[in-house]
Amino acid sequence: MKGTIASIDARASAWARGLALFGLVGLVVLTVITIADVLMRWLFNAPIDGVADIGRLIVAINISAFFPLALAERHHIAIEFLGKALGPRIHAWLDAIGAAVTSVFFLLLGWQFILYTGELQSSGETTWLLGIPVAPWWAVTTAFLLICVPVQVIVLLARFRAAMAGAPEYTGEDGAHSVPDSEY
Amino acid sequence: MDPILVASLGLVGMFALIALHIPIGVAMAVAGAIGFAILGGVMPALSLFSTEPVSVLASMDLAVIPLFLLMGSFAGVSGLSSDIYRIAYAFLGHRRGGLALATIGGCAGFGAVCGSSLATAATMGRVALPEMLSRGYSQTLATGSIAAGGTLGMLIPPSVIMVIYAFLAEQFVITLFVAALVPGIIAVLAHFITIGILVRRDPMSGPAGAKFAWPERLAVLKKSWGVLVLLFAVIGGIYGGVFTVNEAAALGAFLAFLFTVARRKLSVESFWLVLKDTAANSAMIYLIIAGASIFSSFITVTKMPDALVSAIAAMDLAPLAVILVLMVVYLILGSIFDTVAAMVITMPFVFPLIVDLGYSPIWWGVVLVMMIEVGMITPPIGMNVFVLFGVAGNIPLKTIFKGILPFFYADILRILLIIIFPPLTLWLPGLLGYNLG
Repeated sequence: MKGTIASIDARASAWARGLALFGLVGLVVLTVITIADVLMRWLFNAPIDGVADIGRLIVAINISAFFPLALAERHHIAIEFLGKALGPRIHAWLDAIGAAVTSVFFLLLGWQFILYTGELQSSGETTWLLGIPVAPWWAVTTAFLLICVPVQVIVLLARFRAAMAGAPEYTGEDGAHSVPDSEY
Repeated sequence: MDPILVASLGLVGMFALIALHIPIGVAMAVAGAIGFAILGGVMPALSLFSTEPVSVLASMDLAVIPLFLLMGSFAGVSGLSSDIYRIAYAFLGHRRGGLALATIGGCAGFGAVCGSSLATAATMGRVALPEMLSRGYSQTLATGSIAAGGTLGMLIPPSVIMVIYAFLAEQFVITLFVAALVPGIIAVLAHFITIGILVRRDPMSGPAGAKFAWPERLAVLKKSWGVLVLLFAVIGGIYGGVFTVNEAAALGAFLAFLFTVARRKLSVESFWLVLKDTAANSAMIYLIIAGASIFSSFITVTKMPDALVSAIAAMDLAPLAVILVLMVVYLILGSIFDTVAAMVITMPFVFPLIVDLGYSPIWWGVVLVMMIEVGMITPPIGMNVFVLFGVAGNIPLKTIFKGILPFFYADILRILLIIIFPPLTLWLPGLLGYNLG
């Protein structure tokens, strides 16, 4: 069981890194477009039309591509006073509760984004200046947010496993997540 | 149900969820949606999960955050932080406490190219701490100056937290950056004076180093030209009106990347580090802002901010007294919560109050950032302290906190100065014709 969850967890992290790489490439594209716009404005007094139009679409995809990595890496701000005060067993269970609520949150987020993208598709909404249909771009954003659900469920399973073992997950310097061996 | 009661329950519920280890952004979103559902129905509440995150994800104002984070990550990997420190040391190192002064200067400079306090404290901790300890500096002065200097990262523009404030308060971010300039310089001077007093009282805590002759100083400047170009392009571009903040952030990220490549510091390992840093931190910040937007929608519906404003108006308190009470509240919040969290959690209540009291939202933005910044070195959490503790290795937390204490007092005095004399913040943007709200 321990090995299975750890192996799925590691695989999810690898996939999340791949998605984040996609997001980073998008960020680079945004950077290049922005710099090209500045240069065209400076050198030829001819700014590129619709940079903001494209930017809005790209940035939403970039950021949503970053979410699975943040979840897989357990990179979020949570206050852990209570767990530290009440001991490792309760700490681990509180971590599991936090992971469960986060899973539900991303499920709701994904569901509402599906509805939102559907509305955009049926209304045929386009960007203001370039007239690019926005629905396909938000569909990609929605897909990335939906990927967060299984990733977070894997985190939940790992945290549940840690809670059953009686100690919070340990995050090593290499970013690996495990329950300390002594607790098994 | 009475909306004010629902708002109060929502607030209590949010803190309860946070106490249950639920990530702060998620806790705010869940508490906000449940409260909204009680007042306005389930379906409208559920729709908040798309409307608010969509506006956050598609915001071009917030798009500078991943770009600044990318710039800061590349700047760290490429060794530009060491360059800033080297320059500061060449000019200040011969004075008593010179390395600590150079650390403050380095923190201010690195803060200008990374915009994050934690990154500044971590990076300068790795660069400056071994140097200071090897030259006989006391552990208290060495760690105190780095932890305190690290807080400059969020005050010296461009600052990620100011971008978030500008988005939530609907203010022009460049006005905030301009307004933060004089308080930022005062902050650096206050830290310099503190170090001066400390080494005067105990000269052995920060022995003077060798003096650099001018040709040597020029050689250091020549060798470290990269960081000067980056600073000039980003800061000069923004203040000179040449670039928008987005353009400056894009150019900064691109230049930092080029320096990393040119210096042969771009390995597979460093690339993944940059990717992980940028991606995970961006997602974390966006999650908090999206959660805050949902919670804020709920609080707005309850009209609690109006009730709070009326209640405080009925008390007939002097506006300055309200600000001083808020200062204490933020010091406490800043010591418990992360900086972004402390700001966004309180924004729906406090911002309308400040505007109603007749204060400029720009002035408040700078004061707020300064107050939260001090919280980062205040026990029991003091995030900068823990970051430095991790970097320092075997220096006890007690020693670090002891080293921070003089800087903490100096910070309090500095904030009071900025509160009592708003023109220190508003004079420059006013002079340059920016709208002060």
